[in-house]
Amino acid sequence: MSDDFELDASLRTALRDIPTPAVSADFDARVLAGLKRPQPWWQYVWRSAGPLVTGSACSFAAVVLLALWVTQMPVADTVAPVPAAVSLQAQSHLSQGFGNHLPPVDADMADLDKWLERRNLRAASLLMDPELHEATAPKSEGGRVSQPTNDDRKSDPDRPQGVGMAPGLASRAQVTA
Amino acid sequence: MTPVLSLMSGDVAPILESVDDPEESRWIARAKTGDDAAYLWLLSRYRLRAVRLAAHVLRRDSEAEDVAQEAFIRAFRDIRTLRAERFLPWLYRIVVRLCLDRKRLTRWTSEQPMSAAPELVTAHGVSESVTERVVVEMLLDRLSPPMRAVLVLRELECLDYEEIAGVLGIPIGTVRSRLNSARSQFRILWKENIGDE
Repeated sequence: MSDDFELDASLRTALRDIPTPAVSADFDARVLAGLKRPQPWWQYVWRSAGPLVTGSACSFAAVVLLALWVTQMPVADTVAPVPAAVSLQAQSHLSQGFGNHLPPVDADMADLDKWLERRNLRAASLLMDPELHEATAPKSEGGRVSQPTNDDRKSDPDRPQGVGMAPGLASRAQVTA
Repeated sequence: MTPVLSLMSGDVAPILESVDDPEESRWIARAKTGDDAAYLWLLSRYRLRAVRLAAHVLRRDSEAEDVAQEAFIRAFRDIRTLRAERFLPWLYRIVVRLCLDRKRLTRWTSEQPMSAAPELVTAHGVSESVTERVVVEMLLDRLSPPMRAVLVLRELECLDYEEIAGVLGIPIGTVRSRLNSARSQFRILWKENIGDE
């Protein structure tokens, strides 16, 4: 241990004995002249914006790599199997006439557009749709609003039955009539 | 300014000054305003140390002065950014960075294996201090520049581990391991060449 200590001391002594190279007489003058020399513009820019540019470049590279990795990820070819319960439910809907709402197989574009514009009553609320009711209500005659009768509804072939009124309410209206 | 420890060699300024040197602080404040007198004061104080550090890290005396000059120019240009830090470690950091940036040094891969070292022939009658110096120079030639920098900053410039870590931008643990490695290599070299006499 003491040997190591002595060797370390020898190292220190020897390091200090190594002569320092002589400095030229015009060292200071050259440094001052270098200071007076105008700096290139890009050095000013780099000094102020360098960290920002570096950070932005790193972030951009990371985002590009991430995007490449995501786009090259393999996509699963198989469709997830439909649970049996859902499949059964769909079959029952079809058997109850739900299939009538599907467009015909040989429909052209105009038919498809028409079909798509039809209202989907499956999602209808049990409450009256005020907007629809207003749109479908007949014009007021002498300040009174005449309610459409069931006959009116039946006579309008374009109008789907029960539109604007929940099915329960429509049947109640028939009963009361 | 009270020198704590002075160098043995020539006109090199004392190694350590008091950490809070009011005189230096005044000159640095003047240098921040672009005062040439302040630049000259700092140059006269730290010029030799910068050249010596560059010479030891580069192991090329011819380039040491150029590197020291460049370091001073950069330090004076950026001196407004110097806040609570002392000037000397900051200057050392610039010197070491410039040394390591030199293209030829970047090609350095690692220190040579000890077995590849040529046999040191000590001439009869040569003083022990000269022999020691030759051994140390051999050791420095074998070390990689970052290891040289650690060794010189610790043993010659007497910086503490924390300051060395700050100058080199490495963890303190790395400073310790590099220093241990350099010392152990020196011991092996010493025993091989001088210890057997």
